[in-house]
Amino acid sequence: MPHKGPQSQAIVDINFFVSKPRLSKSVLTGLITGALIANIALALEPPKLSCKLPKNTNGAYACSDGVIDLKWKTDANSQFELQATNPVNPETFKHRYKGTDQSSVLSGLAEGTHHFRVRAIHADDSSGPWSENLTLEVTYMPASRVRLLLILGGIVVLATIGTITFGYLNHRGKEGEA
Amino acid sequence: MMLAVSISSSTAWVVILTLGVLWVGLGIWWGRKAKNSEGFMLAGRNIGLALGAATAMATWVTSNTVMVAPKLAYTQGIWGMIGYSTAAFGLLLFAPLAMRIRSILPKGVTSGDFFHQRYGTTGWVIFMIITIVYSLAWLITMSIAGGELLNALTGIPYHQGMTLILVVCILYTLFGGLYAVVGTDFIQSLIILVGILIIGFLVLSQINIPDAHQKLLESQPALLDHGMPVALLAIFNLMLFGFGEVFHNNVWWSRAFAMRKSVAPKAFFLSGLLWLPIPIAAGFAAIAANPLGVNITEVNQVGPIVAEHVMLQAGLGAAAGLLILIVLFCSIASSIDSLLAATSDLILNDVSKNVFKKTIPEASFHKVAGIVTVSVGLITWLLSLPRWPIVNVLYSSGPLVASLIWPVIAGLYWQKINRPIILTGIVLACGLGVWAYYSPHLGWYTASLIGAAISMITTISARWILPQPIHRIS
Repeated sequence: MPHKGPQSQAIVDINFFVSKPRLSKSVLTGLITGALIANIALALEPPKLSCKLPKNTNGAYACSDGVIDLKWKTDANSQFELQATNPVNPETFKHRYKGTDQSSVLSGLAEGTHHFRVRAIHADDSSGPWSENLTLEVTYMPASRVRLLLILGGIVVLATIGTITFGYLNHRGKEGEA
Repeated sequence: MMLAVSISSSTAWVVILTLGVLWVGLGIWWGRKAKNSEGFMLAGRNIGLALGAATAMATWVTSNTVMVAPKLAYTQGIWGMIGYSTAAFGLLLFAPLAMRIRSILPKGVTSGDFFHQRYGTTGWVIFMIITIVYSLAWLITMSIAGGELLNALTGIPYHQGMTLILVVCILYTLFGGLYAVVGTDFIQSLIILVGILIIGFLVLSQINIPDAHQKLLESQPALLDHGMPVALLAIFNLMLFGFGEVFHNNVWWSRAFAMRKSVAPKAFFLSGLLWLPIPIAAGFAAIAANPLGVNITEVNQVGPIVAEHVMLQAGLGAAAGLLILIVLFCSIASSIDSLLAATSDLILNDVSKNVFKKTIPEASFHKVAGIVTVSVGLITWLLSLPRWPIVNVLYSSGPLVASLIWPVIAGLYWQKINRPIILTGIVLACGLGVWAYYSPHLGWYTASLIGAAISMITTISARWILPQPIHRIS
């Protein structure tokens, strides 16, 4: 889908203004300058990075399954670069995606704090400013609770399989018995 | 990346209408065998091993298998992929149950018959509420998924696509009953298997395994973590969801009644074995998304997105969209037809018998069956129109169906039970399971486990606390 961006807004048909005698040269210059300023302002405006996860008491987004659905909004008609840090290297942003999409679902994130940022990359390879960092804290279920639930799961599944097997062996060949 | 519109909507209309005409034509052809109600609802109780195994497998290959299995693999990694495939154990374990079902209910028609006779009117009402909520939610999610997929793949507007898929399925179910459903399932399952094999082969040919492993370790380490809590718990959750679904739902009971007695256990066991690797193949493609450089913008569409990517990379161009469209259409249709038939039969048989205390005369059976099938289809269509996010209702119904696992086992094998304790246990298990689903301390991946565990404890208690002899089944 084509995006309405700075390039499209900067296209001004000069003939249109020239053919209108009532428009003075200064008005024409003003209009063109205004369009250029608006274009530059859009290019300088960083994308807005967001997600739908709830926030924790630290003000960071929080999840318990290591998955985040990131979306970014901008009027710029460009490619985007998404970077992220991980809990092992919290200061180093690493490349995650470059392309025209305006969202990305990241999964399999390690437990700990992650930061994400995105910026526009224009056709001339110049890049816009980075968005504000979005911080995510991944906290998996405590190991003690996981162990308890795994034991419970094991018991339920084994008991189910065992009871069916016992029932099958016990009733095998007993045709028509209710 | 998002799903590109790979084929034009006019081509898609031609493909869907051709498949639709084929299914409806086959439905009418096979439906000629349905001379009476037993023929229509149970295909004359004469389905053989090949058709029996294929229909069970194809019904279990829902759009969830080609959509949710990749999603689970993408979000939970190796365990998510294996976890979804454990739903096959539901079919494997239903094999001995099917033998027992055929033995104690030689003239049975629906799973409702069993619940009514084992657990009385109260038990039957609880069962009907659970199964109707679950089956309708499943039907609606299938038709919504169908409409959305047609829209994403071909640009056909959602309402038109959703209506098209539903109308095709209603028509051939209407004309052919279970004969049509089983026959089309057989062809659909072959198409699905071939499609998934092609995608799996293409992914394998385009990926360097050591390189992919390294990339996953760097950017998605939890996907390879053998101790990932969510994924580990999801294994039991998915397995028990699968047990609950297969053990209680009339989709499976009607097949058990429809197969030849000696064939039913073998067919279910074989279908479980055949189904087992399908989610692994579909999930593997999803895990490869990041190493293949595919950006996932919509997690529910990770399977088709990766499939489209690898086919385009292989230079298959327009064939990519066509193959994905056909495989997905077959997956969705094979589930919608089975659910339509089984839910309609349940209403037709159980409501007339247990509510109106009447048996439908053979002379008017086809007419009434048609009205019920069209009504179920119409309700599904109406509820699919708003495009509700009803998938959450389907997922949260996991504990509901899991709460019926133990009551089914007890009803089939045990001679004495305390019925009120079991029924109280079902209600308790449903309530606490749904609570666990939404609880921030537990989560969706524990809900079916909680439901099954509570129901298991109460059912076992019911065997020892003031048990009464079970009602004899006639």
